[in-house]
Amino acid sequence: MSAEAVAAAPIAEEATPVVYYSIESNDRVVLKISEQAIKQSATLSNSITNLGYSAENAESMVPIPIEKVNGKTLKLVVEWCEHHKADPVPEAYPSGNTVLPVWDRKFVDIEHDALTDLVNASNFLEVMTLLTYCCKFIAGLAKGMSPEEMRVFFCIPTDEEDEKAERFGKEKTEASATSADTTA
Amino acid sequence: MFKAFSSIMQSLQFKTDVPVIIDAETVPNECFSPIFRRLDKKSLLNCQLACHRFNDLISSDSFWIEYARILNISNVLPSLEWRRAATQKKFVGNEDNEIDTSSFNFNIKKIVLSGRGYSPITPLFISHFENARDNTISGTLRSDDFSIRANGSGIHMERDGGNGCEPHPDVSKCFVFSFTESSISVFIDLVNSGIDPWILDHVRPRIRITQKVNHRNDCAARLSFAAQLNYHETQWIERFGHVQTMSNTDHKRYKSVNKEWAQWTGQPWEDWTIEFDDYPSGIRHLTILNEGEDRQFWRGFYGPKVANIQVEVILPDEPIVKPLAVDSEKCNEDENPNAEDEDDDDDEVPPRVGVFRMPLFRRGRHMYGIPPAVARHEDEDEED
Repeated sequence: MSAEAVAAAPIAEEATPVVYYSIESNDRVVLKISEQAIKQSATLSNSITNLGYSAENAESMVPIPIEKVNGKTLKLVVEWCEHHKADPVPEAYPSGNTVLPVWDRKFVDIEHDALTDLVNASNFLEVMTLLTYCCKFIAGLAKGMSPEEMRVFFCIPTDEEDEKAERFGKEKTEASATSADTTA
Repeated sequence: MFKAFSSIMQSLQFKTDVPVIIDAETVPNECFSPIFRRLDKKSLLNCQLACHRFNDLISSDSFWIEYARILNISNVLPSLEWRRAATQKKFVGNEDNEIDTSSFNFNIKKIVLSGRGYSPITPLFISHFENARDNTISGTLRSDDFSIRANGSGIHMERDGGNGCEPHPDVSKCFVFSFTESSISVFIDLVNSGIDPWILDHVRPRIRITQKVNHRNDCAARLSFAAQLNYHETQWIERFGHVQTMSNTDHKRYKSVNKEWAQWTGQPWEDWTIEFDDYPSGIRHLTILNEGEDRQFWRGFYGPKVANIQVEVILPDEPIVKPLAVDSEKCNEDENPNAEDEDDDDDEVPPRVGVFRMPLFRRGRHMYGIPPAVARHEDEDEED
């Protein structure tokens, strides 16, 4: 089990030392997140409160397991929370017109399945502002698309593709049956 | 400007980057709702066509209520009491369950997409005046939503409504008639505006048409303001119409206000209101007519002025339902000309030929492709 510090925080004043909590992803990557940044995630804040973690024993406690998020995505979420740790946490789901800041615009502009995992992770960890930014980015891309383009964008199989997959599965089953008969 | 630039940069960046693909199977439904809320209406309809899952998500009432709130048009929705009553099928006035309320549901999607619903409805012809030369329309202009018959010098859209009379702070645009009788008709399909048929049958909310009226101090003028509630298509029942433009009427389905001003009787802007509160069940369409002229026969726009035409469908505060009401004022014009083909409501077919109606049919024959409301106006032109 190897610990990996996300950000080397500068040495704070002795009066207010920075407290770090350890969290562990489903592939056993352990990350540290500061006490201020963890407020951005309602799930993590509630976990700390309910499990009795406090500033005194944070360093010695076992990491909090996050079963539904992998290490790469959790690293992104922690990075986002650290960057926005000074921001106020929205009480409810933010609605209405949302402006996507420049840093966040670059942050959510990631490739392949990473954005999907980021949406799922921010939804599970209840990082509402990050989820809002991801959804706004996706909506901006989807605006103006035709239904066919949306199927490609959202990886939705068409009826023909479903039929092909079904036929392939059936042929595979028949081939297995034939092999079994030949063996018998 | 900066937003447009950002959009261009965003689209360019998207094309040059490695393409972004969202695996929809792994994303839960509660993450898709905030994405769909940020799409425009056209993209939403495209999303519905993409797959069944998106269609089910977007078809739910809660999605459209939230969408209306984000677009800041929550006033098109019925009130919370009414929505709760429709969900629980508990209405005032139906304690003995005589009325079958099982199909009493609000079509929230239609209400939000129409953009009208239970908010005030304003006519759609204003842009035509803004685009016309000198903001004046001459001749005949018609569409599914309105019909303008502008004789004489035409009908002129005047800014701030202060020529020849006191201006009004609420009047920014008004429509001025000229020396020969002209008319502005507004046709409103209540069902396509988002008012559900069961509301029109069993609730029959008040329908209020308001406008502001004035005339020039230096010229005599005449104005008829009339409204009809109809069953089928967009129509103007001429038999009622003649009565309505001759004198004030106050019937269940057709009402009118008529007024003549003498010369040199200056006065401030007036509020004119027609309100239907006791009409029969089955009403689906509303037709509004403003017909006016100046009485001095002067060139230019010296006739009456009309502004701020507005239609409100006002649900009662309490969710109350009533039994069906029979129409005591039904006439032959109300027969459904498409009764034989219920599925072809959009087809234009001539009305049924009766002996007494032969002249009307013959005159209207060469106007086959014109909506019935306009055909009747053309008949009126021929009579002149």
